Amino acid sequence: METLFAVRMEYGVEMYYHQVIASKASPPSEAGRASDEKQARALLESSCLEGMYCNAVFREGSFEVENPEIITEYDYDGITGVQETSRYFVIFWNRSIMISIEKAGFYRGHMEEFAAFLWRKCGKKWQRSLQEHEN
Amino acid sequence: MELLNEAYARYVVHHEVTEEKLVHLDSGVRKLGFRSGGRRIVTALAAAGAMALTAGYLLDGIMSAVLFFAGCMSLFWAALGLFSVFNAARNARKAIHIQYEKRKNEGNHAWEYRFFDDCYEVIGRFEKSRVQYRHIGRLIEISGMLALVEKGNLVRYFMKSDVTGGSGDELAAFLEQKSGLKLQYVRVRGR
Repeated sequence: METLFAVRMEYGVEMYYHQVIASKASPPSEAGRASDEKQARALLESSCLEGMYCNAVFREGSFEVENPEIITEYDYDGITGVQETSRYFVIFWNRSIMISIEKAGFYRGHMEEFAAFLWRKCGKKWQRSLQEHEN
Repeated sequence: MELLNEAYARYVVHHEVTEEKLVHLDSGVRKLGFRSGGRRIVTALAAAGAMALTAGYLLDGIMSAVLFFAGCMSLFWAALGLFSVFNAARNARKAIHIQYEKRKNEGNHAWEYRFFDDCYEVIGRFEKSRVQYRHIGRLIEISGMLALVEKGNLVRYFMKSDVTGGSGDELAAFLEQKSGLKLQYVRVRGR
């Protein structure tokens, strides 16, 4: 099946920070930023993935996320929610798994078209866009 | 992603998620977490409290009162720590029950694990993965349940009794050899 979009990302503090703020019920605030960053650093450290790169490839029927140690193919029907932040699309796979797609990491397809594509695939599950209070 | 030929799998596990297994896994993970830090804190507080109370009993005057008060506070915090651990476990069981009831109609409870010489595959209703053994961060046995904690803190788990192609202990030894990790043991009640 044809690859529609492809993204390359690094597991780092930024990725986990955006997962932390995406997982919260209320919008991020400047007051809570230090705490969110601390939580992100703790998650990154416990993940043992720091500095590793991964690729995400989106096709019509499914998408794949791959790094040197694991490749997973996901069915869009398994997505439970999508949250957009200023730098990432955060796909909620279940209560504890989030898949981050970095907006600046597209090397195939365009980010704007990807947003429309993701909306088409799971628009009902799109929660909200977190744009305010972020740097 | 094309799956590998199942015929080449050394071990295959058919795993069905149940609420009982989720509670069992949660109990084991909590006990492991408590063992690694909380137990030391609670023990230290209890010991300090006991020593302060004893010293307070043996001494006279203001020192006695101060030490007696400090001892009581220390024991109070130790008891509070233990209570919060039990309370958290009870709340977790409730949360697991609610989540399990909410999601049991999604039809996403059947998983298959296939262990090959170079990697293992995990097959669920909405996802399939091929994982290198070096991606495993921790290997844990929780009273008859094997838990593979992958990097990224994703936990794969199944009962040793569900292993085919060999025994659960043989698979555990295979995983130790392939991952280079030592199996950690945690005993929990219930299974």
